[in-house]
Amino acid sequence: MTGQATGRTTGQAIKSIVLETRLSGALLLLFLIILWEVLPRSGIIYARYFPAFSTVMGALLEGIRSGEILKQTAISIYRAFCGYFLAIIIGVTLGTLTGTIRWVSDLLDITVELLRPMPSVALVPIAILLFGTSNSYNISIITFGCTWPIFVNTFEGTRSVDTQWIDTARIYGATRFDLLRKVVVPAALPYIVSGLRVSLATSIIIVTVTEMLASFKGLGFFIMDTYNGYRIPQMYSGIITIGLVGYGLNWLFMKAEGRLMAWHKGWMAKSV
Amino acid sequence: MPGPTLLRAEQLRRTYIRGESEIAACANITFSVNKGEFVCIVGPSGCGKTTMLKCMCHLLKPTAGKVFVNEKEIDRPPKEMILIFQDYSRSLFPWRTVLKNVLFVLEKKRLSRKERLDIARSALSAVYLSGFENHYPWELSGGMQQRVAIARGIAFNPDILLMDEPFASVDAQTRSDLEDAILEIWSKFSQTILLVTHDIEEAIYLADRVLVLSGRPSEIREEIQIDLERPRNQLTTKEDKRFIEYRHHIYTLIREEGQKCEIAGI
Ligand SMILES: Nc1ncnc2c1ncn2[C@@H]1O[C@H](COP(=O)(O)OP(=O)(O)O)[C@@H](O)[C@H]1O
Ligand SMILES: [Mg+2]
Repeated sequence: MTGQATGRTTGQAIKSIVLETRLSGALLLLFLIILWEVLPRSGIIYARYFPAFSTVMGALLEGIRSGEILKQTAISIYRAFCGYFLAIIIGVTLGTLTGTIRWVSDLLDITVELLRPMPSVALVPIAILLFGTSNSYNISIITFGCTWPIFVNTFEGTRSVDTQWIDTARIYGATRFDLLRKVVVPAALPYIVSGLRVSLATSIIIVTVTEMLASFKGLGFFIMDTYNGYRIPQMYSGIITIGLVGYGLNWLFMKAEGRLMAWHKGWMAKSV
Repeated sequence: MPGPTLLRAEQLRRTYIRGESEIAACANITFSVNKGEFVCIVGPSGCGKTTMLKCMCHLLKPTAGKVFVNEKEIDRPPKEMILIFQDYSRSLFPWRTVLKNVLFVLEKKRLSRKERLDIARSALSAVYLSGFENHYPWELSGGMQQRVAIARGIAFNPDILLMDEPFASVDAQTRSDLEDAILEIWSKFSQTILLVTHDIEEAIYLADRVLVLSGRPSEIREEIQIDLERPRNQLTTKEDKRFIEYRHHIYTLIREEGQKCEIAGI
């Protein structure tokens, strides 16, 4: 036993550190960044269209210092948030009503099934006709696109609530509204949350696309504007920023989900 | 000695539609429970016990017949009566801690925050679960979960507690512990309890009176007064000559009912 333990070579030790910790991920990222630095510099790829990492970072820092990137980011996040927020209200409300009331589901079924597969960006012309290039244009399309995942998951979740939970609450005098608030929605929350996660990513996609197509502010606009102005490093800094925004929002979401849904993880693990 | 009638079922009948045919789960159930009594109903599995209890609480509408609580006919789940299910895992709320599961039943009552907490805590301590307030139900064993469900029931302070095979999903040792726990609660809180079970010994051990159900569609086949001293004891009570006679008698009744069902092809 001891012979084996002491007999481990340094090579094996390094291998186990790299593979058994999260170091491997960081190393891969580092490697990709080095490639990104070296390939354009060595002329293997064309640096004008694909500037080195340090060049892009320089543009990013300059954009942050001058406040331009931050301003555009704030606008995009604001639009995404407004659309997302409206989608939550509409999606959860409609999903809950559809999942719990038979006639509402009969009423909405066909209309929903027709609207749902529609790519939200196909609505861009309509939204421009209605709202011009104001924030409402971006927000309305984000709301449209983000509502469906939330709606569908809320519907599924509220429809499949165990009837014994409902019976239990009824025995203890719950009114219909109590049932919704204290049983149906909490029980459906794991479903609702997975809809929310999908929609969060969708909101970032749609805000970017709508800004690229017809806006004069926001990160999507910034990316297209720098592209048209041939400010390539700046263009890359905009793309990097939108990626970081998506990453950061998802990270926040997972943190919040981990806290709120801890019961669900534990419960699922126990009830297999 | 028996108190006033608290619960009365009159010719209760409930049928289910399955495809073309109509199946009667309970046919014609009439009985009453007096204040302070511990009544057990025994019947074979599938004879309509759960259906009957759900009708009594108005979770299901009876096809015919009436239920009276304190001589008032009920038309909605009555505040004076609660039902504890067999399957605790599907009646406790997994998103609420043990304490909050108990608090759930107090949220409709006009009480201060402190009163609610006091009631919930003392209900939990009555089932020996003090110290588990902040656990989630699924972190506890099956027996402990059923204790939480019982604590929730007594915290609500109903006049009568209905229990649907409450100890059928736990192991034998836990089961006798829970039987003694419910007896303790029954005498400590002067509760009235109607407990349904398929276990003959459990029924005799707990009850003042045992009602034997016939096979489906069920009716009350016979009513047996249990004259065994209290407090009861898992060993000596079950060794008592009278206990063995009761068991013999009820077992024979239920066997007959089982054979009738087989002959009728149910
Ligand atoms: N929702 C239902 N639809 C149709 N049949 C049912 C339904 N619930 C119960 N039954 C039938 O009614 C009978 C009695 O069921 P139940 O009351 O659960 O019996 P027990 O609790 O005594 O086991 C069973 O034969 C069952 O198949
Ligand atoms: Mg049953």
